[in-house]
Amino acid sequence: MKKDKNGMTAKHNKELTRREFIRLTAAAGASLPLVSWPRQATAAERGRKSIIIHSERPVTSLGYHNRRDTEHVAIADAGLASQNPVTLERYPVLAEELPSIKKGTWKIDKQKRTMVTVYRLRSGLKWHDGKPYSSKDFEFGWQIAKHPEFPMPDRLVPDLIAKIETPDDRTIVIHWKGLYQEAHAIQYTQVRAFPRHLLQDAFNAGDIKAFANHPFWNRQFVGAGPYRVVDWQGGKLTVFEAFNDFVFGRPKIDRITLRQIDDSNTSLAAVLAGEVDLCMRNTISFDGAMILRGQWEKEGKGKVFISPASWTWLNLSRDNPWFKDVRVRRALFHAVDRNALVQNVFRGEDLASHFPLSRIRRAYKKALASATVYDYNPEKAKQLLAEAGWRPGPDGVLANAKGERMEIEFRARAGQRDDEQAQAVIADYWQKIGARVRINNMPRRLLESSENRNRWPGAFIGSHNMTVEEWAERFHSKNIPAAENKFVLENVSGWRDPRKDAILDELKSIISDEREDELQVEFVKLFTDSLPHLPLVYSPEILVVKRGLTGVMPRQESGGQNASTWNTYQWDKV
Amino acid sequence: MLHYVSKRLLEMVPLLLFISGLIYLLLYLMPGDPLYSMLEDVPHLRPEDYERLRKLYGLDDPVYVQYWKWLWQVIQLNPGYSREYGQPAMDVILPALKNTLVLTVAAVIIGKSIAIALGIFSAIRQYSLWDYVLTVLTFIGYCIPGFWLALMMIILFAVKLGWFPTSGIISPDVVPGTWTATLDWIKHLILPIAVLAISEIIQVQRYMRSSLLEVLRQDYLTTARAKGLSERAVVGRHALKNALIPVVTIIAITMPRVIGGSTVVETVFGYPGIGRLLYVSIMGNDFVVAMTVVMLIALTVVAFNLLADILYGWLDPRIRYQD
Repeated sequence: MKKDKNGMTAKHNKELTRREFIRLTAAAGASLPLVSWPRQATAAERGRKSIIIHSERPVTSLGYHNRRDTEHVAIADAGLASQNPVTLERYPVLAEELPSIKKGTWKIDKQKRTMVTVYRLRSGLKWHDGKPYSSKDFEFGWQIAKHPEFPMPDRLVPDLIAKIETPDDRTIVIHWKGLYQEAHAIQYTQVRAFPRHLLQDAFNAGDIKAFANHPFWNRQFVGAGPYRVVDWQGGKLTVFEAFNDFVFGRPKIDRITLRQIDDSNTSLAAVLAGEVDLCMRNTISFDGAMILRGQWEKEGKGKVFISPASWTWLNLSRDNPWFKDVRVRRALFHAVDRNALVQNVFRGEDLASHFPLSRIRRAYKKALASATVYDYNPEKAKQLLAEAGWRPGPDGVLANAKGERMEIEFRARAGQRDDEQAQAVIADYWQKIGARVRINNMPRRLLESSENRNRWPGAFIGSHNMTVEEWAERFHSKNIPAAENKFVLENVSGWRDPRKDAILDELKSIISDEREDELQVEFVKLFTDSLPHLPLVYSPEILVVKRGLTGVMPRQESGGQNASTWNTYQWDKV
Repeated sequence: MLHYVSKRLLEMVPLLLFISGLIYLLLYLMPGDPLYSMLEDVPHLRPEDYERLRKLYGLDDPVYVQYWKWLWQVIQLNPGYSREYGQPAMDVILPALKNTLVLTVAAVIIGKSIAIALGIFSAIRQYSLWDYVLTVLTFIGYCIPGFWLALMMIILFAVKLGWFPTSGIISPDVVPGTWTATLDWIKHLILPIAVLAISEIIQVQRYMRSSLLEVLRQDYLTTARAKGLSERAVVGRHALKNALIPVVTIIAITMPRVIGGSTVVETVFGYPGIGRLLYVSIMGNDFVVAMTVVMLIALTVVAFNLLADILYGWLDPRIRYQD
């Protein structure tokens, strides 16, 4: 046997190495648990209440320009008024009360179509840095928002305001160029104050591009909301500390950490591991919510809310002549068993929708009673198609008199799992009545490209909010996307109907609650009769709340001013 | 050698310029509207607002003007302002780069050291039980997608056993700068490092094994053994250095990942690194950040190629660089 210079045999060497290897492996394995150090004292254990929130929304700015997130801003800032997204009730925040016609603080000149609203600020308001909050800050905020070079995308309200007067530090007199039904409850998402003492010089310097990039807008943000920003890590992680001088008193929770999470599995694991107190904005997928309901919620570790906050619709291309015939649209809707769809894709959750009006609206029940409801009826679908000139050819595929076969390109956003699942089910139903379906899903950035934005050749399944205040943007004939408006407008169905436009115009004006309800019912009747969109289901919004966190309420309507974090000052950790 | 290195460094300048132009053009040609991420859910957007924003962000300039503006800022060592993050690009990139370097350097050192050790062990114990076990494990490793392994490790070590946190870089409730915070930070790093290290081990171990096996069959090693050298000396002193040459190539090729990070691992672990940053920047059409990160990666590729060439000379006495 070969020996080395130390006189050891090669065999001996070999055995030693193997043993060493086994020993080392065993030692490494045994030491693995040692890396689990004793848990450190948390802020909560040191007497401070702290929570962690997961959100999927990236955010650039708290100033409502660039990419912004209503939830972040609702934590850090406050407006004159706000809206409860559970009841849709509007209430004053920094203002003492909402302007009212009765009290003369909301004057409307219907002849000239102008208005004046008077807001009185509460006394003793302060910015996060302790400086007094004044009416002049509000006027300054409006000047910023309406500046043509300031990159604020939504300037509807700033552009509707003709002039703001500030007779004293607490009074804001807003002169309006037109009629606006929300003028009595201006929220931070529309126009709000910014601290003059911090920004006036930078704004007056005239370089608005540099001003828009000022660190104030995110990492050095100073607002008047319940929490102040203490750490900003590129919008991926934001830490907020309770603001002692918040208008409704110091929030009960001392610290909120808001993390942006890209992957729903990451959030799901964090919930299961007990690391997160609240997951909002669909950070948890529907499937994830079902897993949590089956395990985590049953063990009493928290609550999973599934709220019908927005809606999922199916749209048949406005540019395709086949779908201009309402009989074809109705037939394709009758062909889909939405109850089965809800059962299969949404595990029987009560999500079926017939029109874009949320269930918490006053007019909902009347609207439902007056709406045309399309039940699953494939025979009727075939009959309607036959009336519209579509009959099965020798191969069973529907064809019209011109010899065109009903082949529908069906798009959805790639990766939008709920939509893709629903799409597969619908495609199957359509095939059963003789249509041929070709799935062509695309990532969001491709759908939003100049070639595809707001248009598709066949069918598209999508979702967005259904808030009545945005109906005009979604359905008014003047808002049909076209080349001349760069396809940025949102009436993607191309629905044209002067009766409907009259309703939408009136809804935008100042009317009584009763009249508003009547108009909503009227609109729903027209909608379900014309079927510009095929309303599928209410899109579920998942909110996961860990046991111990109280006061969090799932919003019942998304969009507009509705933020899941609207009442963080009321939250508590017990 | 100095002249050779200087020449190579000078050659890098036009190469990097070409790469930057090409990448900028590719990013520009990508489908998608650079404003789309900003405009989602803006309910009252009007065409005039859209035009105004395009102008404000310089998106209506021709591509060569946009490129030149970016290049000029880079020459001034200020790549510009991130549209997606609302901060100077370097303020976004540097913390992400630091996070990624911590993660990937640790993973590379641990992973490649283990891989080289296992490769040597497998080669010198060829066809032994351990060699077979390692071969099988390596092939299983090849078949497991990184994201799945990451999820399984999270479920086992974070959810079930509770040893490590599921995601992030530091617990929000620890006080920064304390010993507790350091321990917490290390705990956050262990799972992502483990996933990346396993991937490194799988990639390099097989190369090391086959490379060493090839060298062990060389005549000069038979001569070394005939001279009476121990097997340890034969392998350690004579075989290993030459066997490392192809492994160095593989390592050099994979080194840009150190800078580029791992988008998948960073996403699954919610780790704020450069891979995730690059992905978000590209998807959000944040050209300034995307271009700067891509150029950092390109620079690393070029630099590590140069480093690999220099290392060849050190490892293989037959290779000499002529001035």
